[in-house]
Amino acid sequence: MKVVISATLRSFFNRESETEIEGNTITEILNGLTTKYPDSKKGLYDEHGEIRRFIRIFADDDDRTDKKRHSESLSGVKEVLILPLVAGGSPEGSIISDERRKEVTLDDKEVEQFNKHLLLREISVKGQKRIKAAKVVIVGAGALGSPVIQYLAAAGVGTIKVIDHDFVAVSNLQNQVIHSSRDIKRPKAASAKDTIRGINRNIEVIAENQMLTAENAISLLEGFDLVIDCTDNYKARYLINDACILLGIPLVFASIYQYEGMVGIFGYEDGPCLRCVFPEPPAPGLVPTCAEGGTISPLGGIIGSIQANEALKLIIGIGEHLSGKLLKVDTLGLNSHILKIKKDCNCPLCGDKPTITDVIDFDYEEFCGLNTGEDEIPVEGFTPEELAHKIESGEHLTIVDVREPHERAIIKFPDALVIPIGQLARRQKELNPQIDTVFICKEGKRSILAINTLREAGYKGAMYNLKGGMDAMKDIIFSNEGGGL
Amino acid sequence: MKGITVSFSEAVRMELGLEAVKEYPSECCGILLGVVDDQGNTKVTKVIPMKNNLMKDSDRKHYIIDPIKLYETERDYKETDREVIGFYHSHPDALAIPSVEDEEGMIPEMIYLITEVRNGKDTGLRGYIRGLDRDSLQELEITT
Repeated sequence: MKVVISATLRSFFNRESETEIEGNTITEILNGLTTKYPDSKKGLYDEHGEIRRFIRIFADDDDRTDKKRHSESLSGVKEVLILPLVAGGSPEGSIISDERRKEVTLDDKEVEQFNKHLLLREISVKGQKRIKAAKVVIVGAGALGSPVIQYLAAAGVGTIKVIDHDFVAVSNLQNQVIHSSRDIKRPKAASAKDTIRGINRNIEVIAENQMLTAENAISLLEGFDLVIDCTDNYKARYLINDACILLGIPLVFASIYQYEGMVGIFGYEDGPCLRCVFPEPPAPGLVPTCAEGGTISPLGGIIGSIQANEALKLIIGIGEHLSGKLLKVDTLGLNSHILKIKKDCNCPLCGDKPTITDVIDFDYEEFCGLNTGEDEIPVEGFTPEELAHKIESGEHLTIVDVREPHERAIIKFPDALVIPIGQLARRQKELNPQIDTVFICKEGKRSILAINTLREAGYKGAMYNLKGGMDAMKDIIFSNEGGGL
Repeated sequence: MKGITVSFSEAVRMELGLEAVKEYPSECCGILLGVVDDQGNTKVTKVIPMKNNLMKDSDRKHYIIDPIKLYETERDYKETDREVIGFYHSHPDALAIPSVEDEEGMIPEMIYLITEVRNGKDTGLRGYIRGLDRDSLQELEITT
């Protein structure tokens, strides 16, 4: 059979434009082609073994690209053509449809209020109407939620829901600028609602003073155009990601830690989700939260403002955005970079064969193997008083501090051997199995993880946990300054 | 690594813009003929507009060139010193960056030029090329 190859596909066929292949079906012709031109396999088929989207196979003028027609006889056919399909599309515009936009009007006061948006060619009246038509949920009214909620309210987003189960505390005022000292002990959601109403009374505000859980995630997020994750813990991030993907709602994600932050968009069009990049959360305690690690005051403002800006771009339908990318910002070294991330076809949530089809609650600690299961040897521990007594009575002990450098900078444990969790298995030779070893961390959780890690690595010596960690021990250390402890 | 360049005359640039404006708010599309040098750098010498083979309205966001029509055009120019080196299309009221659909449909080693048209005005042109690997997309350096 005569096979004609388009010049546009020549790089797969040794630059030949015509060849003779034995065969009476398309399947036979394709097999013959890939045998004769091994390079053509990569050109004709994708990683799943399917014919690539840009390939069209014709028998004379009959399109036989569809697999079902590959076994049909080619008798009477003069030539088989391997041609390209040149096709594409514009990037999707706004997440708010034209119909929704047209239902909205702007009054004179709004024209005055949003004048600076109307002046921008890319936004103008159409974009402002989309902003007004938009319904956005913000989960978390803390460091990130503060700028996100205030800027989206200021920009004129028509419907805003704030979900937060927490109450305002004094320590929140350092970086949660939506709350004031008058709001202390009030629900954060209610305090955020007051701030929004102060900016624009026309906004429909829904304050949800409850925790987002597997049971309520779908009902709390359903019907909204966009979700913004401003939470500070892994459990919430995975629940929100799963619910958004199942509901088909795009998600603007961010996280902050000390001086650094990260922003990305998940579940937008065909883009990746959180689980494509991080299929499962890290073990609890391995990554300190902001409550443990601290953050510089304006960090939430910087990262949250980028989140709000991304949200507005999706709503208006302009610009390049962070779908399929993660923006990392280091405010101490003043640099930022964008990592490209890909959708994973094996993703348990949004891949080709998803195994997660429902928002499922998981006991985060259980899930990550921190809770001692029945078949696991329980970890023995000392209370701070017991440990202090042992040290004072001169017992032979090795103390291993698994905390991070910044945690040790606040309070040191005298004469402790410092080994970060990640290095434990490798450095187990530094420990003497004949001597009892006590592991300490901030709260007494990572130390359990450390003991289990060493057990798995085959360490045979006796290991104990300091119950409650340094948080529980520090009073004893302070009162013993200058003494043995 | 030095970027791959695409070059063309002022007349070719104007023609790409005019095509995009003429078809607005629909997407225009067509073939680029030209030459490729040893370094893979390309020079566009002729633009051949093709019909966007989609129904009214869906042609505002998408384009398809009929493979048979494309092949016929390719054959017409076979004996000349020019060859098909890539394709162009427009993005009405959207950035001249490849959509997910564009990227997946790109034939490796062909150049793709995208014209941005806003409110009926030619507001920018960008070029891209990809290799066989999924994440090998790179932007072309445009010289006139």
